[in-house]
Amino acid sequence: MKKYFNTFAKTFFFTAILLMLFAVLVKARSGFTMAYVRLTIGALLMSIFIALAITIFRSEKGKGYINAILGYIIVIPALFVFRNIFGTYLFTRAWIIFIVIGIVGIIYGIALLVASKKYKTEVDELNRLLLDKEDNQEED
Amino acid sequence: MKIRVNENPKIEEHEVVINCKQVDQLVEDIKKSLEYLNNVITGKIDGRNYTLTPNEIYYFESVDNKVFAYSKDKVYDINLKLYELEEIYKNTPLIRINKNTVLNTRKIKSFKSSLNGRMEAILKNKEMVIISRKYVPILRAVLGGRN
Repeated sequence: MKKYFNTFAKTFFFTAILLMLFAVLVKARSGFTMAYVRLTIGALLMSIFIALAITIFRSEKGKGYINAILGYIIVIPALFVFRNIFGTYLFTRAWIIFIVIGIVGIIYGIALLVASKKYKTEVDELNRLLLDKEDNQEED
Repeated sequence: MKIRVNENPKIEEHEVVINCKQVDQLVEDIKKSLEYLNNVITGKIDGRNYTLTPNEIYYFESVDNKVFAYSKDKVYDINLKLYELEEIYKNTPLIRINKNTVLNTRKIKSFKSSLNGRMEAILKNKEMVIISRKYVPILRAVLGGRN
């Protein structure tokens, strides 16, 4: 639980900044000032989902790939909250949310690929060191 | 390097004497290996005490403020804290790999990473332990890689 709240605090910080930037964008585009309470509650709700997704993604229990898929599924409600906050000011068409979900999915997939490639290199290096050590011991 | 073993029934305790011209890396390595074998601790199973040499320990794990030592197929109750074990096994292949585990790196069969970036060590007894990224540089150094 402590881990979750730590992640939640960090997520809330960044989500609040992101929502503020979007609020500024809406103000610049349509002249509409977003309600502070709406933005704050929205940031809180989004952070709950995102922090949960991060916690499950990092979880040491269960299968890694299932955690990765669950992480993405749990992020989706946060995107619906995002749409609810900004409504038609950002989402001029109903289907835009699905494009956003798709884009987030692609970014998530790319991030996963890059990270797993990096970790694979690290694991390969450790396996090589392990083999070297075993070879040395056999030679001795 | 010559290795000579003197077998004598009158000897009560093993003694190792290293004869060398001067203390070099090889001597240091021999000393380190011997110190590793010399760190004996006591573990309990059902109230009975057992002596455990580091060579038979696969890993130590802390669960609910209790520390357990895992050998190939047995679990011993240890009356020491993980940080105390870390101190005892300083400069040996037994290192901390996550918040709750001290692992004997000589018992690792291979490493594996999963899609969510989690790193796992598969042990020679087919058990699996999770390695925190924080401890990877130490692990790499113990395995002889650059830190």
